[in-house]
Amino acid sequence: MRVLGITLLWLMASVGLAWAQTTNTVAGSEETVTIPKAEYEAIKAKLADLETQLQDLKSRLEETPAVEQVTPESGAAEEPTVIGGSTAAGVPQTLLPDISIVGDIVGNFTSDRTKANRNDVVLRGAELVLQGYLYPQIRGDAVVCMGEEHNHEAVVEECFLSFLQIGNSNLSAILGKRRLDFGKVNKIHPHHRPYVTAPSASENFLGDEGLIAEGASLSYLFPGKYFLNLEVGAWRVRSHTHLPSDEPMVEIGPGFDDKLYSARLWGSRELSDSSELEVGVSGIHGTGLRRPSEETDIRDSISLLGLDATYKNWFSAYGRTTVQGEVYALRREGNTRVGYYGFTGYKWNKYWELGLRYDWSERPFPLDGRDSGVSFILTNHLTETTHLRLQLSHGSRAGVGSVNEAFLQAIWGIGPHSHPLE
Amino acid sequence: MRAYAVIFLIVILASSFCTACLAKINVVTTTEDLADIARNIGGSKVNVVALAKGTIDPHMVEPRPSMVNQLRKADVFVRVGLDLDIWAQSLVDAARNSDIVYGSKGYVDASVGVKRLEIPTVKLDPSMGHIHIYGNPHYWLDPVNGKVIARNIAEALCRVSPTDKSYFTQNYEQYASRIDRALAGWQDRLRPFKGTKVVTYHKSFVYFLQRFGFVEFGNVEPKPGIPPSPGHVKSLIERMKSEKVRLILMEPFYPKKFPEMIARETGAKLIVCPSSVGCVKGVTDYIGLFDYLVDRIADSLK
Repeated sequence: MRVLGITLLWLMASVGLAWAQTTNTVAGSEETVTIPKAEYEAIKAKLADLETQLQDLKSRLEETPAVEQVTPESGAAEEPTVIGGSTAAGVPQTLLPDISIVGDIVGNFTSDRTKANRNDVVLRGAELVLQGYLYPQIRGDAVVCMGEEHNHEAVVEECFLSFLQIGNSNLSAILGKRRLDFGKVNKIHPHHRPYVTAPSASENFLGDEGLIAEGASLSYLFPGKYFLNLEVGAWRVRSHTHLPSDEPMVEIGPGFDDKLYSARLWGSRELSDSSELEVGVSGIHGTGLRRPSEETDIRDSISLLGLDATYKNWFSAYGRTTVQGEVYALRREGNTRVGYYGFTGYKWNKYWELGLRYDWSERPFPLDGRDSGVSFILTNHLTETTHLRLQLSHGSRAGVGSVNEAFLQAIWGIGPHSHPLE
Repeated sequence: MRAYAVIFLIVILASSFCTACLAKINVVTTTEDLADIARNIGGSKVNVVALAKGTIDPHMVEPRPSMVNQLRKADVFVRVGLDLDIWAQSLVDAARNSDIVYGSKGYVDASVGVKRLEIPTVKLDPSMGHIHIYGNPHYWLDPVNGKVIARNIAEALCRVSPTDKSYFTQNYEQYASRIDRALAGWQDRLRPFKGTKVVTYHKSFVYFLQRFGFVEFGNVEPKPGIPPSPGHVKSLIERMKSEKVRLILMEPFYPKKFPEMIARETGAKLIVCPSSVGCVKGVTDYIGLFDYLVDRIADSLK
């Protein structure tokens, strides 16, 4: 009996033990899975990759503006419509500067037999311009010119840095080589002027290519209700001498050479929503160089003063009336010479503009004589950068007498091309 | 005596403090559409000035020195962007105001976030006319984009004046709701004319036409910015007759000669309408611009 009981007990214990092990094994198989280590590592890597992609999608979703999408009623496409294709939209970004080229072609038909390129069509100038921002509030501009006005050589006409704001002040600065800010004509590139030829006074007192110098200027924008800006500069310039054939060595132009100092005070007031009046006074004082003969150099000082006023009225979407005048007075070795011009322009629509200009100017010392004339100008603006122009001039030129001229000008531009406020 | 000095000092300090508190944010925009939206978002806390009036073609605004003065004092500068108002850049450069240059807290390109149309994907040059490389820039003529503009302006105002964030946010939400309600009304009004083919003078109304279900059939300009030629006008007339196009839209600053001829020859209705606030008399605000456009178009197509 005892043996039977022990045997029964043993059997029950064995069965119980066996059953417990079986249960544990099943429970264990629900909690653990045995797989090869390589497979486990692969699953783990895939999971990490999916988590990264999910994170990326989430952050893109957060950047997308939460603005209502197109309503079904409009029937508009979900994707931006594109011209010429269905590929992804957008403009490739580069860090290249703005590059442009502007061509200025002039046909000159004149009764002045002394004039070079008479009755000829020439490339007066081609400008290759590179412009761009170098740093916050610092900009670089470089202008390389070629053409008849530079004897068909490539010349760096301008190359300067503009510090658009110094600190948090109302000051700005320019460093480099540029057209001096004197009056309203000198600073403007020839292709951007509303006439073919510069006013006689400007050519006589600033040179037929304008006054370009190397140095630095500082500009201050006055606080206040109206625009008022003062620029002062220190420059160095080389005299630019033309030598007409069969003539003694005579300088044409103002005769500035070596150092000069400039200043311009420029103010503007809005007269109404559609009209504005600008006035300015400019001055240059510098050293001049005269060569009355090959053996003689005379250094003297030259002072040039200019007053300018411009009235503009934008009477319609594209219509504009311009009235502008400048007076110059140049003093050298006790001799004062004056000159002035008056210009009026009438643009009546997007494409056409009429202009009328009167010039009168004495020649700068040591030259004698006067130039005067009246010019009629008709401009067709094909685009913002491409223009065709006709200028008819009648006047009198020192040493020549009565002159009749007709100019045909074609200005074309490719690429983005901007000018500072003029 | 000392007491008077103390009182005087307190008055001076208090007035300075009050002035600072009451000082409004100066907002300068390139167009009147942006200016009106800015006024709605900024409310009593902003002074807003638009550089270009609505009567001027916004592509061809001539920079003036007086605009520099306005930008010099600006706390926020809002531009259309997409190269429509590149004329403003020389003004910003001359203004000596670091608060409004690109990337600064007061600089707003209102086009950010706009779903642009007509983005070129081929090589461009001026033989194609005046093409904007970033897409058609006349996006404000979709009221939904008006909300995007409003949001961009609100964000800038919040950056410049964080203490007024709740005020600007509330104004934005109210303005966006106003646009939504008005949009529903405009869509109801124009629903009967959905699918109507329309000719426009310039590609100014692309966003408007798409929003309200019209089809841009063609343009009086053969290419953007290129004046119409007799040959192009003749071809357009023939196509319009064949497809029975009955509506022409043009802004008042474009020449009327060819659109009037086209309207006579085809029997289409010519509507001289604004594409900007202030472009015609009576259109003095952004929502009013759409009221005017929708009313004129619906009345013409009845």
